[in-house]
Amino acid sequence: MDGKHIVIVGAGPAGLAASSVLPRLGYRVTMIDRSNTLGGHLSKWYQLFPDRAAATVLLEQLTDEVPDSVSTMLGREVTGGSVSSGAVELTLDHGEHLSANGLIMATGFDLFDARRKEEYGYGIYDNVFTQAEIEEMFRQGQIETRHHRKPRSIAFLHCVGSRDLKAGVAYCSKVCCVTGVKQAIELRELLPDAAIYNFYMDLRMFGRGFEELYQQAQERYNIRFVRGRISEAAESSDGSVIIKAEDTLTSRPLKLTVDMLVLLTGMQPAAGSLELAAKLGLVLGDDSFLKPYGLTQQTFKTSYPHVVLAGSCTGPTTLTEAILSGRSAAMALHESLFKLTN
Amino acid sequence: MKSFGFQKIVDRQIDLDKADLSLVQALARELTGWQRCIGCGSCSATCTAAGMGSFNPRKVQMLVRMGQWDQVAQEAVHCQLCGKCRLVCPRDVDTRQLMLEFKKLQTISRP
Amino acid sequence: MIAEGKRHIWKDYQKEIADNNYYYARSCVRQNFFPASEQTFLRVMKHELGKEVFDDPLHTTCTGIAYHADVVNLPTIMTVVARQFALMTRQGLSNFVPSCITSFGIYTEILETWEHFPETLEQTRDFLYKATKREFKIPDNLAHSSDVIFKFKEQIAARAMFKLVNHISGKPLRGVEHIGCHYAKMFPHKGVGGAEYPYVLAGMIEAWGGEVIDYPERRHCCGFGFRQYVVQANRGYSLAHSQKKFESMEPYSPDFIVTNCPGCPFFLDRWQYVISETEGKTYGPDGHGIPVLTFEELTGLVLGYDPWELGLQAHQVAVEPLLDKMGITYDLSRKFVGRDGNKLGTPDKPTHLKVYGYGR
Ligand SMILES: Cc1cc2nc3c(=O)[nH]c(=O)nc-3n(C[C@H](O)[C@H](O)[C@H](O)COP(=O)(O)OP(=O)(O)OC[C@H]3O[C@@H](n4cnc5c(N)ncnc54)[C@H](O)[C@@H]3O)c2cc1C
Ligand code: SF4
Ligand code: SF4
Ligand code: SF4
Repeated sequence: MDGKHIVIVGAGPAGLAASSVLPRLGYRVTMIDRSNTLGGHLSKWYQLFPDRAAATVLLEQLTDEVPDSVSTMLGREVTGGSVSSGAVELTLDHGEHLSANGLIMATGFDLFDARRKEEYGYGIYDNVFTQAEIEEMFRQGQIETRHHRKPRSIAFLHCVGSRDLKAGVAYCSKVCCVTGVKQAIELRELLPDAAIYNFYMDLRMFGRGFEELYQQAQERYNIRFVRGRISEAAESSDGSVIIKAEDTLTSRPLKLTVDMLVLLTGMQPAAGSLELAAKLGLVLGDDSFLKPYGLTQQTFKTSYPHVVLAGSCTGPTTLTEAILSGRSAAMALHESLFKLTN
Repeated sequence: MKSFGFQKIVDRQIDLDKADLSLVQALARELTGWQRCIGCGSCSATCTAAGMGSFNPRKVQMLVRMGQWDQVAQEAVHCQLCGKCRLVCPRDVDTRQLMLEFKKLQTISRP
Repeated sequence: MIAEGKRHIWKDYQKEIADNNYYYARSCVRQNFFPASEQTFLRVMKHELGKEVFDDPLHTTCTGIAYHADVVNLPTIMTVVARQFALMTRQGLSNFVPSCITSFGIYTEILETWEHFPETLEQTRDFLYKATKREFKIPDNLAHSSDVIFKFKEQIAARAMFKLVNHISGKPLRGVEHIGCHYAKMFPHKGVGGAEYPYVLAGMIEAWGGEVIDYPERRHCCGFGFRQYVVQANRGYSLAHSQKKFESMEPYSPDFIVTNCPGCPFFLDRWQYVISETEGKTYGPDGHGIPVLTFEELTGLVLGYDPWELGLQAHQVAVEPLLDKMGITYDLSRKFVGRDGNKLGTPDKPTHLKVYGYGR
């Protein structure tokens, strides 16, 4: 729209999707990301659920769709700013200023800091990992314990830093159940003889193809599902991890020694987003994610007509949702800027 | 009594139609938070007293909800009040307090 | 094990510990089990560190054991606790230091209850006044006696006569620490280092040259479990808990176990004897057990106090192997001679467990 300037904060899947839409509608677009690469979390994953599509392929598709006219500023963080009627002023980390007519917040999420669940010993015991580290191992094509051995047994623990009032997190992070099942299957392919367990409270297989993946994990991949949350972990003298849980289905406490414990950590609002939201006058929900106007309708809108929200900065999302919301938020912004000027 | 060489089997079905839920209501007046339990088993996994016998703090809570107080009475006495359950509960249920309350309620409400 | 990870957590659990003028509340049972531990605490505080500690003959049990065994109810124990505070107040003191972990747990919980339910505090004031005409102030600082030793561990290290180091090989001695269920499980922020990686005893071991063993059943209960022990028929549970710990720590070959609570060392010590008698199993090298010490006894050894003055002859598991490793000399002929010079008598000789100074 005749050269109006829109800034997108965050070049993850949601930001990328939004940036592919707006230039074609005539906007001048600047996309800023504090990391040095495009793609946000997507750039860290290996294969995607539910169909195990390569993350690199999706990332390439998303970046290919971004027109050359979009100016991308990588390695730069938006640290503050203000919103007034019809205008947005942003401050970057080196003190630089940017003015825009519209803003898309696509700041995404951070993974829960697993060290906070002290009872699992992440950062203390050698062989306690997060699922993000497992993705990295898949990318490197090498699964091994901290002592460079091939693991003979692995346990996943669901809901670490999600659904946990002690950690101050009431919500479900939505993608970790299916990620745990997906990773268990991938591990099985690399480690045909290993014992692989998933310890869960509920398995939330809500998306298309998710429940089927779970069923395959049981039938074809011999993944053992235990309905009980791990209450504590300890390290044994050989560096393996001893876990305790209750098998709630037989009502018996259970002890198990595994070579690797993988924590399926939850999603949290991106670091600094609380402060940034406060400076911009954006509202947060009880869960500290940015709060849109509605939870069913108008899920991109804020109280400002020229500021919209996209992707997982509003709460846990799948890629599908992040991409869809990026595009929709761009359209919503276009509609309201159009209304404002006509 | 005549013996036929077998005994009638006891029906173990929980009959929710007949279960005594009055104590559950009394409990709700005394304490909050226990309704949040999602039966994850963290408390029973970590409990000091569980594992050596039949005691299982998660199950005790479930029995309460089902109005099975007779079993609750036999079980709750095994709690050692150490508080480990409270440390690990993701739903912030004070199971230790519940075990204390169960016994109090039973002595107060039941002659 | 990544040591840095633990330090990261310890930073979050720093607790305030008063640095002088304490009111000391002894344990009801401890002087029977480990006769010199509390006296050693007073000796260290007064004579080594030059602190003021008031040791009050008027205070009573906190009734914690009776409370946990369902004999005493909450309003009663609150009133008893209020009376202890009244005795402290009467001395013009405000730093309360209990010797017992169960008491410490009880005091912490009651203070917490009073804070959240002021009406129970008022009721307790009322009960106490009606019963005894006493009034009390809430302590400014509540710290377990091990917290206080922890606070001064570096000063103690500076005065140490012996280190937790094998005096021949120069290698650190390896210790298991056991803090006791009621120290931090209910209120992690009231314990040094929190509940998952408690640092109170670990910090002493490190400061005095030893190495801390982190073994899988570290968090497990010693086996006291009040209801499990108090009823004789239930003692099998208690034994099973302790054994779970011994089996788990055995592969690490600990040189000693140090404990926080009056109950734990009793069970960890005595059950080693019971297991040796019933199963022929011992957990140290060639028929020895793993010596179990209270933290005061350990402090006393480090400061060079005479082992028999520390009451180490009252232990069922022989502590001599530890003394030998530390390079502490001792006179076995004086082991069973009381402080008044009279013979104390000697215990029966165990079937399997190695002992010194008798029955050889
Ligand atoms: C382990 C794991 C596996 C997953 N696997 C899948 C999968 O297989 N399939 C699927 O559908 N979904 C998957 N997801 C979900 C998926 O990762 C998210 O839905 C998606 O990344 C959300 O995209 P986003 O753009 O909203 O946020 P992000 O990917 O988090 O991107 C946000 C970007 O904003 C930047 N940013 C934040 N704040 C600022 C600031 N102040 N200034 C500048 N830049 C900033 C960040 O650097 C980041 O690059 C997975 C999630 C996890 C945790
Ligand atoms: S998606 Fe599954 S693992 Fe993740 S928080 Fe929800 S229930 Fe827990
Ligand atoms: S830990 Fe909490 S939520 Fe889990 S079963 Fe026990 S009381 Fe219920
Ligand atoms: S307080 Fe009772 S129920 Fe809770 S862990 Fe301790 S013994 Fe088990």
